[in-house]
Formats: sequence, structure tokens, C-alpha cells
Amino acid sequence: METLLQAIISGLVFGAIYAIMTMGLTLVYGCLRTLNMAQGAFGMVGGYAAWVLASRAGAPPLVGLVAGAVAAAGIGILTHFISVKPLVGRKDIDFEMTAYISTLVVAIMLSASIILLFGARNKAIDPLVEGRLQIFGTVSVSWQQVAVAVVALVCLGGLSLLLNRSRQGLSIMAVAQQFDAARLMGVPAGRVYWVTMALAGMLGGIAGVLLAPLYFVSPSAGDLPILKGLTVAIVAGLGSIRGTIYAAFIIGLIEALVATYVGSLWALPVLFSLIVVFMIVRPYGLFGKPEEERL
Amino acid sequence: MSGVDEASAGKSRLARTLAWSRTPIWPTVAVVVVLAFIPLVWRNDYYISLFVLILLFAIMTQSWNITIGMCGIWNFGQLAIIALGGYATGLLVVKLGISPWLALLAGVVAGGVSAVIMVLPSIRLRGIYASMLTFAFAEVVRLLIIADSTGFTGGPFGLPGVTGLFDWLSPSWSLRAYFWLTLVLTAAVMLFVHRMMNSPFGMGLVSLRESIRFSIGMGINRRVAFIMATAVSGLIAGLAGGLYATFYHGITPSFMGLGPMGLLVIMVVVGGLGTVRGPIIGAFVVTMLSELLRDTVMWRLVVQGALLLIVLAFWPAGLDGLFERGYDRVRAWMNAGQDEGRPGVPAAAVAEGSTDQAAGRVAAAAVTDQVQRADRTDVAAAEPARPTKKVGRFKAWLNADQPPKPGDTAGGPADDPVRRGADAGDA
Repeated sequence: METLLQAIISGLVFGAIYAIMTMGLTLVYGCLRTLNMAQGAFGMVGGYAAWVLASRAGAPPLVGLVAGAVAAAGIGILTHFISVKPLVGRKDIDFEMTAYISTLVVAIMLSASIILLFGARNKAIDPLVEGRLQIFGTVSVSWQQVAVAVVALVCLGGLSLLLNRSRQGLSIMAVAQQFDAARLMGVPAGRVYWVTMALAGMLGGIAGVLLAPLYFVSPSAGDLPILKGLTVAIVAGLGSIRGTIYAAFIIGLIEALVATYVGSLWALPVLFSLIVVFMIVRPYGLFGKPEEERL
Repeated sequence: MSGVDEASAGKSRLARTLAWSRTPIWPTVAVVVVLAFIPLVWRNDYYISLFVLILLFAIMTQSWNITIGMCGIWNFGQLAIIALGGYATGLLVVKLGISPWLALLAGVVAGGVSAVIMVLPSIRLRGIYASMLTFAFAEVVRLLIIADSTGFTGGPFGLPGVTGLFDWLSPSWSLRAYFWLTLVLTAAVMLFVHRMMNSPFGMGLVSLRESIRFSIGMGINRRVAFIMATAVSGLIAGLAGGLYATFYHGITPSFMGLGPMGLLVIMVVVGGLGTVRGPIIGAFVVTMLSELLRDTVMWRLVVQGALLLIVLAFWPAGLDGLFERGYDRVRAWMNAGQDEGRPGVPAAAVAEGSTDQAAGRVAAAAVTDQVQRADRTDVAAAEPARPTKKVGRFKAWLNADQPPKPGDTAGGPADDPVRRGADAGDA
């Protein structure tokens, strides 16, 4: 019973991180029809920004969080301009596949550049908050996990406010829903594109900083999150914001339960096998639309 | 070049319409013979092993190119197929002690079977979802091998001690033997793929890539066509994997994963996605680039990635497309003044004269154009039973060069080119 509770708590915390990570993927896919394979690398860059500030300038973790978000947002904009923008509107290529490939390559280039800058060694980073909170018996939550959950909820709430209330967010939603109509209404699609990429970078960076104390900051730190993020996005149905949140928590829970009861080495294989079965049963995800083409 | 006449002697109307040419073998044989002298003249073992690596990469990229470039199946699990071929070969040699040649054959079969198993569930998925499914398959394979602690596959440290194909030779002659073997196999694979892509079956694959709805409307059986193409791709991948495992006397799970996949992707795209020569060009350019950057290993991926971004931004058809355009331009310049004013035919194709390749390319362009036009309209509105005006005009142009052949009578609906393509694809 207590093991189960512990597993559920850790599943929910990871679900929260996956949710903000994948929200970036979802936004970019909804808006640009690009599966942004560099999303995991954004998180890795965010983690490094936080680590640089903490270790070289001794900045408090919260500053690291903000710095990670800002740095990753910058990388997001850069990624857009070097790998996605040159492909937009080209008639001679299959845009979705080419953008997939070019962002994948950007991810690889980012981790190679990080190795060039900081070396290949893993870096440890302090958690946002120290200590553990006893709930009852042997069940406990580290304050870091609580902080992760809080930050994730704040992010999701802020994102929802941004998307539904602000001018910029509404234009993102408009482009995602109906590109032509949005342009006819005077939404500057070019600016919406890079703003979306910046937003995705920011979310990825925050997720990266939150993940950093749990694992390490390393050049390949983005590989695992992007795999999980893709899984979540696919289960959710690409481009569905509501589905992303549900799917993130479902996958976080499945993973934590498998890791607790079967063994952590098996968490990913079992998860991916489940995904394969899931996609055979429901090829367009939980909340995706069963159309062959949406655009 | 009389390839068209010979090849079409016993061929269907479709074969003639699309200028289905049997790829001439002799030019490739000539190139292979010339290249075969390299290890005799240039006695540097390091460079010979580098060339073997390039050829292995060329086979691997070609196998991937068939699914991702030519059929438009979003297959991002190809490395797992290659690795499974390698592991099948290696395990048979190490655990059962059978001859590496037989094991290589088993690796080929393993590649084909696992590729079909992988792609089967993803055929009905759309683009990115299929990529995720195949990618997940590859990750499951990789993680299962890493998680294997029974010692069967060697786990994260890989499977050592695979006997080479030519271990009875001295090391440096074994290396040369590998060079010749991979050279011949690469040439055979390229010829085979070229023939396949210029056959009605290959045309069906191209039209499936351009528009699935139109092709299905034309009666192409998507499932059968994709499974066949995937099987071919898997067999070639298994071959490459088996060769890799025996050449390096082992295989490790680090062969798979995001990084190596990125390397192969760069090769495919830099060479030219969906072209036959592209994989060779890509494998050569990218491997040579790595070689130039041997002293600054960490810069490799950055430079290769930058190369890919540049190629994508400026020449999305890859280096092969770039070379081809340059070649066409030179030919057009040399032939300027001749052959002008033929209606409905691109100038570059005119400049090429009526060689098989040019005809084939124009045929492919015609198919693509027809598909794209029809795609814009309702599927029901596209008439499956009659060749469109474009094809008719193209046929007129084709026949203008050649005397009409016996039996070249106007066919009924059953003789329709694209439907025949579907039948050929189903067979």
C-alpha cells in the first residue's frame, strides 16, 4: 500500500514534468505542423544554463529556473530560424518530414555543441528546495517534488491564461485552428511562428531545470525527455492541449508503477510496447482527430 | 541506347508508356571494375577500411531510402532492423558456430522479417504517428538488448567474437576481400533498386508517396505495395547489418539510438532523399567529412548537422539533385539550338535526348504531375479508366522518336497504365 502510494506520487510528479515538456511539442505541432525533435535539447540547454549560473555565479536555484527558461527560449527562436523557417512554404519538399529531420539534426548539433563548451561529464545540480515532507508511515515527498508540481501547475495555468486571454496567445490558437482564416484576420503568421517556438523553448527549459536535480545535467540529458514527450504527444493525439495533460499523467503513472513493481530497467520497454498496442487500437491518439489529413 | 526497345519487346503497354527501362548493367560493372583496382594500387589499409565503411553505410542508407524516401513511409526504426540483421548473424556464428556466410544469409532474412513486422502496424498510421511507432519499436529493441543481463546478446557491452567472412585470409587480404565483396554488393543493391524504381511497381510506390488517396483511387493496393517495399528494404538492411557484424567482429547496442540515426539521416538527406544515387553520395560525403575532422572529433556532428541544414535550405533534392541539375544544364548548353520547340517537354529533358533515363524521369514527372493535379480535385472526379491528356501528350512525344511497334494498339480500360501499375504492384 505504501509502495503503491509512493509510486503514485512519483508518477504524478513526473507526469507534471512531462506535461510542460510535451506542451511545447503540442503547441509547435498545432501551430507549425512540425514535430519539434529539438524539444528535449531545449530542456538540456535550460539545465546547463541553470548549472552555469549556480556553479559559476552561485545564483539561487530560482534564478537558475528563470535563466534556463530564457536561454532555452532563445535557442527555440534560433532553432526556428535555422531549421524550420527555411522550409516553410516550400513546394518541392514534404514539409512535415523535412522539418522533423532538420529539428532532429538541430538537437544533435545542440548536444554536440554542449560537449564542445562544457565537456561530456555529468554535472550535478542542487534541487530547488532541500528536505523531505513526511506524509504518514514511510510515505514521504521530497520538497523538490512538491516544488516541481507547483512550478508545473503554475506553468500550465499561466499558459492557459496566455493562450486564452492574451492577444499573442489568441493569435497562436488562431493559427493552430485555421491558418488561412487567421491570416485573413490579420494575424502575423511569421511572428506567431517564432513566438510559439520561443514559448516551446521556455517550457522545455523549465522542464529541463526541474529534471536536472533528479538526474544530472549532461549533453544527452535531452534524449530521454524527448522520447517520453513524443510518447505523450502521440498518446494524446498531436496538437491536442487537453489530451496532452491527461496523457502526461497517465504515462507518468504507468511508468512509475512499472518501475516500482517490475524494475526501473523495464519501465521504458514496457511503456513503448504498450504504446505500440495502443496505437494499433487507436491510431490517432486519445484526443486526436481520426482524419487522414488535418491540413 | 536501345534499352527501351529491347526491354519493351515483351512488355505491357504500360512498360512502354512509362519507358520502363531495364537499367543497363554494363556502366555499373565498368565502374565496379575500375574501383576494384583501388586496393591493389593504393596499399593503405586504413583508407581501404574507410572505403568499406562508406560502402556499408551506402547499403544501409539505401535500405532506409527505399522506405523513407521512395515510398514515403515514415520509418525511423531502420537502425533496429540493421542491428537485428547484425545480431542474428552474430548470434548464429557465436552461439551455434555455423559458417558466417550462412549466418549472413540468416541475417538477411531476419532483417526482412523484422522490417515487415515493424511496418505492418504502422501502415494505417499517418505520417508522424508512423514515425513514432517505428521509433518506439527501435527503442524497444535497443533497450531490451541493453537490459538483457542473461549474457545471450552481451547486453550493453555488445556481442563480441563474431567470425569474419574471410578469416582464413591474412588480415590485409581479408580487408581487401571485404572491400571487393561490399563493392559488388553495393553495386548489386543500387542496380536492383534502380530497376525496381523504374518498374511499374516502383512507379506505384512513387505515386503512393505523392498522394495516397489518388493511388488508392487508381486501384493500387497500398498495403501490399508497402509490405513488399518494406520487405525489400529490410532484406537489404539485414545484409548491411550482417556485413557490419562480421566486418567489425561484433556489434553493440550503441549502434542504435538517436546519434547514429542522426548520422544516417544526414547521409540520406544530404545525398538526396528518394534518389538512387543519393545514398552513395551521402555516405561518401559525410564519411569523408568525418574523416577530415578526425582530429577534432567533437566538431564532427556540428559540421555534419550544419551541412544538412545548408543542403535542406538550398538544395532540398540533395547533392544528387544538385549534380543532376548541373549535368542537365551542361547538356542543355552543349545541345543548345537543337531539339528546340517540342511542345510539352521540359527543356532539360530535350537536351538529354531520348536516353532511357531522361524518358524515365519525364515519365516520373508526368506521373507526379498527374497525381498532384488529381489530388486537388475530388477523388471520384478523377477518371481511373482513361489515361489523362498529359500522359497522352507524353506518349505522343515518346512515339515521335520511335517507329510504332507491333501490337501498340489503343487499349480499353483494362490497358490503362496506372491500373496496370496497380496489378503489377499487387503481383
